[in-house]
Amino acid sequence: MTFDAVVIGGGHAGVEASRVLAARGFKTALITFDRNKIGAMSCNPAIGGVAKGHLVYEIDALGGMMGKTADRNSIQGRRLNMNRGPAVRSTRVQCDKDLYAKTLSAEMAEQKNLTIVVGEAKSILMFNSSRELKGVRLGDGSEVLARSVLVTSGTFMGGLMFCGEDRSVGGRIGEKASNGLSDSIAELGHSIFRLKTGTPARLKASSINFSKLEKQWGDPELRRFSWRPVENRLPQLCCYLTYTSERTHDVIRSNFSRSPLFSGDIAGVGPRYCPSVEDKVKRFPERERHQIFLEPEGLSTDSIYPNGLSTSLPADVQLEFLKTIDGLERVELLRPGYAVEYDAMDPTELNCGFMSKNVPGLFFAGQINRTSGYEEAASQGLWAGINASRWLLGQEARRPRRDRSYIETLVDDLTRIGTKEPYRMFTSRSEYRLLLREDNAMERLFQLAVEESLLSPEQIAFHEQRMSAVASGRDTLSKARIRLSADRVIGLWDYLRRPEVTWESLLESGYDLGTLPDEVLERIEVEAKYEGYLGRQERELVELSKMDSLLLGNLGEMSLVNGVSTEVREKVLRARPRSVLELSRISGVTPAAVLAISRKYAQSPDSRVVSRETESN
Amino acid sequence: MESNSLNYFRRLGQNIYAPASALGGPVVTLRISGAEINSLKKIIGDFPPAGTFSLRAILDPQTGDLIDRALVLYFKAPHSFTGEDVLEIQMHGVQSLVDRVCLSLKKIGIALALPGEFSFRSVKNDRQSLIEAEGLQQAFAVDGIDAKIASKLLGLSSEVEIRLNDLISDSTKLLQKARARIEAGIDFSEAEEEQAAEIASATTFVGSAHSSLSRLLSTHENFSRSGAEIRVAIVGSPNVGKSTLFNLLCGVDRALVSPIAGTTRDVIDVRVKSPSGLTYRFFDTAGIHEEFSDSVEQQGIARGLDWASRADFVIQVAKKGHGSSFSSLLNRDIDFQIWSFSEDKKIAEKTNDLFLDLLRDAKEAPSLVFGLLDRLHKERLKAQSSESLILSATSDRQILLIKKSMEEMSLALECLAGARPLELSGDHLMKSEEYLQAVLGNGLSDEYVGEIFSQFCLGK
Repeated sequence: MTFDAVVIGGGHAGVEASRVLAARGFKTALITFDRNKIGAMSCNPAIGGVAKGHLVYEIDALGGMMGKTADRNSIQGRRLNMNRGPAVRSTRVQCDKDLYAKTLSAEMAEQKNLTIVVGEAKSILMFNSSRELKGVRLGDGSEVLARSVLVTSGTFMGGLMFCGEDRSVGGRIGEKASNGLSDSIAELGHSIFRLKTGTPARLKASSINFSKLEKQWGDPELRRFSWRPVENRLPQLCCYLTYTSERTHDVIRSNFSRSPLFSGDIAGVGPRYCPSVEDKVKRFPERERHQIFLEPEGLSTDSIYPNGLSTSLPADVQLEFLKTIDGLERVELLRPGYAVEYDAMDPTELNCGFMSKNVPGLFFAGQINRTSGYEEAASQGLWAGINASRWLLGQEARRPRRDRSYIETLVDDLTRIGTKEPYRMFTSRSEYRLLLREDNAMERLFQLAVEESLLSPEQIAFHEQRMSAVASGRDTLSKARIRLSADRVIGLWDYLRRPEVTWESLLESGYDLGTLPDEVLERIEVEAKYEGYLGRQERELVELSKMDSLLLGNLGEMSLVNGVSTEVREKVLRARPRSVLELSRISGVTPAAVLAISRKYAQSPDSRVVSRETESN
Repeated sequence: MESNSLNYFRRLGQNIYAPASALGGPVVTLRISGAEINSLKKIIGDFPPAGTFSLRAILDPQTGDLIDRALVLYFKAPHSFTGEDVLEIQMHGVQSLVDRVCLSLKKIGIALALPGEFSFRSVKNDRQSLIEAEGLQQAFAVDGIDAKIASKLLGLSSEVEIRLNDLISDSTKLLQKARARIEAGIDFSEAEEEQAAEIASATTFVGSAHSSLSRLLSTHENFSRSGAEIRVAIVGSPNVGKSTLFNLLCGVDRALVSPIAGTTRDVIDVRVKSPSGLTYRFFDTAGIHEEFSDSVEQQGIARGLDWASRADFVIQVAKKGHGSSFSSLLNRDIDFQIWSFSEDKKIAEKTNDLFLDLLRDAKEAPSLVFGLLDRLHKERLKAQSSESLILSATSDRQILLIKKSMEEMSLALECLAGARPLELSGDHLMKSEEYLQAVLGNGLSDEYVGEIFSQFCLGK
């Protein structure tokens, strides 16, 4: 079997990567353990959330799969941060997990140019003679040959599951791990690290006393991620809120010794932002309770996902502490929670297109690049797919632009700075937060998407129509006035600047805003709320590009710069920054060091005389 | 403005010159600095060995005419003020000759330095820190500053750096903590309970950074005011001779003097340089009395008391035998009393009180009073903690940055209070932090570095 590209792993990264490649006409293979688990949601039942929702909008703007699949299979959804400004409002939907995977498995099976190969990837093959990439060897010894290989193996590479004292090999419960692949990747000159993640127990809905719990319904008007309308919405379900208690914490505390996390059995670094419940109890002893969301995993399943209770304690302890929680007094487990330790790469060993700096044609994307989350994985899969296509066409990797998207911010963070713990997207990771919003994702990424031929003619037409509607709607609305009381009329613009006023609240209170699309209304609100601030971020961009043009001379050994520590010096020498801007972006390089180094080595682009250091070299 | 400040970077390595001493003296020093100054040999011949000086003939590079004979000093990089090759020409201070030499320098492609360009290069080449450079600037800028204090200011720069560093980094840490809370409040919006707590603690952090900086500013304001001029209020009962003393000190009849009590109805102030060169600002106030008076006068008295309470020194004028002290009324100590129309002329060492007949001793009175004030001022300076000296070395730039930083904090607090979208508080705090970093010279944009040096005078 010979392909242009072979993708290892059919998770969220693998799906996006292989679809981009196949849709662009490359003959692509997708290697997976199980053709029915393509795009499975291994952990929580939600897509989106703060900053993650932004990623999903961007994925959709680039023609990706995640947004439309989530829209189609959502069983509850909410817009978060509605009491904040528009830039940090994010969409989060819960999906029927079974249907989600079914939809994707079916779509991938029908995808033109894509072959699903069921099996285990054992090693990366190289040509002995040329040391060039040859393809992938499978568990049965057969070979899948391809010019480029994309590794999107998630938690499956060297996967080891922990549940109390029990250990089992695998990347997801009931499934195999992929062993041997990481050795082969290490042999090609890559560093491998152990990371860990975890998932809570699944509870039997019929064993829970919901009647005493606080209900949480989704928004009545469900937002959608994708530009495509959804034909048939699934029935909407309700979530429930409950809390841990001191008794819960006591049970957990007295069993710390049985947690593989604390016994030292799990060596991998876990995500700080998504701690296990034993971590929470240990780190915040003063907290009397922690919030738990009980989320249904689908329409036709009895499974409840207790969000906030990820754990690797033994199954008996899990049951014991769960029973101390309101509503869960008689709870039954469908399966216990567990922790997974897995092999991950160092993404700083990749170029900004996620291609290995050591092995041309070998790409890595998703959780293997030390991230956590479906959305982060999908974003990377898309980026790797775009760049693998470019590589196959003999083009250079795309340079990510942080001011354009969260996806590119993630790429830039990972490949340039790297991360020690599983990386999750936050709005605070972007210095252009006000510019990078859900409402303008397609606008921001349209040009990129067109350049990479990622969009269908329908999506292009939709976008163009949308843009002209926004333009004319903005014109009308910015002149509109609003009657607040009998004798008080003010401009809509000024009214929208108030933090408590949103276009949604305007509609709710009965103001007639005409028949403009939501996006137009939202756009006007954004412009009103952030007036002045957007301009500032745009000005900063200009300043940055100036810094980018202030080039650094030859750093040589950079031995004698006052105020620069050995550690910083080594970092700088390793990163070899080209400009002052790149220098200032190296993690751990203090502003003081930036100034000291640029004093010594900076040269203006149009200065004819090179700095002393270069001259003497 | 932008292109102007970036010029410092664009011109790096280019040869520049400027007079390093004021024109008008018998000798004028021209300083030339650059990465490659060999072209100067066309004008002065061979350079003296590095670190030494020689007498050289200065020739016009085109005609070869002799312009002047001058002492030439050569400092080889990096052992020079700018860290580049530096040549100093000490020539006769005749304007026309200096002009011809400057013209000759231009002819061989050496450009007139921008203001502060020498200092900029010295900072860029690590020859001095930004704060040292600013200390230097400050020492030149403070009018009438004592030579000892000036040298102390320069010497203090490292201490200033440490002290300010501490204060700024403490405030920065508070801002960072606040930002972390705010970001958590945004990025983990599911947990509404926790969000409210995060916002409350963010508000506390920003508030405490703001108040510690505002303490610094108010101390600085007090100090810099007194550094530039020494404020002296003259107070006393009506018609005891306050205005007579004021006029004697000012050397002019500024205040209306008459035998009628209550002649001075408002505060009159005049700046005077003392014989020792210190700048005093005297405030003549309305006579203080509690009897019935018209409202204009009452207001005048109130203003007088107000000035007096904020002055550096208060002189109470009293007639011998009628001296009830006003210190409780002013809520501060009276620094000394002048017993006007006294028979003997002396200073009581213990109390600093001065006995004078203002009319009879009119000629000597000013020197006696200034002498006393100078002495008290020096004693006070000596007693002043190094802290206030540090404050005096905090440059206008730094104060401006601190103020800007505080403005951003106030805006952030508005966002935290819900007057504007919360996420904007993050932007304000980030800006605020940048300004604080810039106080220490960290993370300065090139534009800004340029701006700092453009405030320096030519040739420094």
